[in-house]
Amino acid sequence: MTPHSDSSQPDASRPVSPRATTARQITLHAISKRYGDHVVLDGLGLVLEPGSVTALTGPNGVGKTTAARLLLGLEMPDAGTISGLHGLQRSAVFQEDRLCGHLDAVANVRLVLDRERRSGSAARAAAKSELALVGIEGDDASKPVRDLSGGQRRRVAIARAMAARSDLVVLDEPFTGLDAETKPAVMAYVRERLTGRTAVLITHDPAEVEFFAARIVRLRQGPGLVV
Amino acid sequence: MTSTSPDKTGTVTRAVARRIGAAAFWLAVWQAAAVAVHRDFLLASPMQVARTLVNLLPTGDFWGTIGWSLGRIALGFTGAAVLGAVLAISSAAWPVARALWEPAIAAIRSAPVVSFIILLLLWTDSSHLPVFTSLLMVLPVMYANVLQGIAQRDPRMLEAAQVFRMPFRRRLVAIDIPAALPFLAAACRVGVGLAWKSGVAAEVIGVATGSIGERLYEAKVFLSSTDLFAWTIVIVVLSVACERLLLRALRSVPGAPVRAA
Repeated sequence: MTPHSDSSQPDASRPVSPRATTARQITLHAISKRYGDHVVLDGLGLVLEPGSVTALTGPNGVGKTTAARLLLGLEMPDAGTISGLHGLQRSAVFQEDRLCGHLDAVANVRLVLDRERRSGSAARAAAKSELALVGIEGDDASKPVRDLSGGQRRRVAIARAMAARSDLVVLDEPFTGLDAETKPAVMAYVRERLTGRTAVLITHDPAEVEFFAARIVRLRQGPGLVV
Repeated sequence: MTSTSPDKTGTVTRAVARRIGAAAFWLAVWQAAAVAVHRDFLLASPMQVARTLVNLLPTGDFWGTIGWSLGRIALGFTGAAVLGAVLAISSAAWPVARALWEPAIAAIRSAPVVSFIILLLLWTDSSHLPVFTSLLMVLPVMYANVLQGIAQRDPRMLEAAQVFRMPFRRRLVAIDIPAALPFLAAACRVGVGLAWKSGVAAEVIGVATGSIGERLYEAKVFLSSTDLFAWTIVIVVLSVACERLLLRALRSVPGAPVRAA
């Protein structure tokens, strides 16, 4: 893959992070969420500053993914309020790749490009250059993603989330499945592409938290929240 | 360069041999029955039917008759596919639409085909009969299968589409159609046979001039089992050919499984 570990030296030929124009604070206040009898979140409070990276950590089953789903608008809280999300454009790297297996990597990325960049050869070129940044090039970019390896599919999913115009990016264990050789370069790519966007990173890996200089929010079972 | 393993070649050869053997067995049974009955008008022999078919094939009348029925039955089938898909999509989108369509679809599914044929004969002339009859018979199958295909879409992919604000047309091509295709293929497999059976039945009852149904009606009037068998074979061949063509077309759609269910 293309090595580019130094994110402090911007390259003019690389795509610009397609963030929307609004920058605002997102606040989760006293959020509770349960599935049947199982209480997943109980009184969660969280503030996401514009342009910041927040790492959600904690043991499995503590509600990290549920919090991410609330931020993505895929769930509604049973109690509490969320402000700052209205009209906000979002993108995500889900725990699973969630790619269209029959489409190639370029087509998968093109699916999420906004109206101005969606059609014609320009869209294809934009998608290709985005994928090249995660090392998906040549034949790999043009064969159905179901024929790619797990690590390659993960990189396509990451490139898709970065290519989509968004103010808020949710990354749910995004680097799982990447090999030791490609992971550092992909992490550097993501850090660069998150510039100016608000991001939530769900991870168990302290090295990832440190790399993104993220504010740590550690969730625990029961009411309230430990930061 | 590709090569086929001897094992695979042997398996294919055995499968073909089994099919030929089965066909030969049933032809022998038919021939034996024809010899036993010994009355052409009751049961023609396979050789007599083959001769009739060979005589029919070069005539313009034969191809004109096929064109007449094929056009109308294909029109009815296509209408059912389009209408079934539209109704299924609206049912999936709006519960009110589903509540409206479901009783009508259930009534069409349960009612005997002759009831529709007679009713349609009262409303329209016999040349339109196969179109509407095949449409009505195939409609419930298409509706049910497309609806099931929509229900089987991967909810995780739908969530991804929601998060990325994927426009409807893009989602349709990328997620909805690939999910519905196996069910559509299954509906086509059943629907094509149903369209031919019901369409030709309507032609026979309505004695539609120039149709295959009219040829079958004449076979009955003139007590010609030879013609009856010959035209029945033609219908079966047409039905199977339509089904194969349709499934091949569906397999070429992006997102279709390698072998549609």
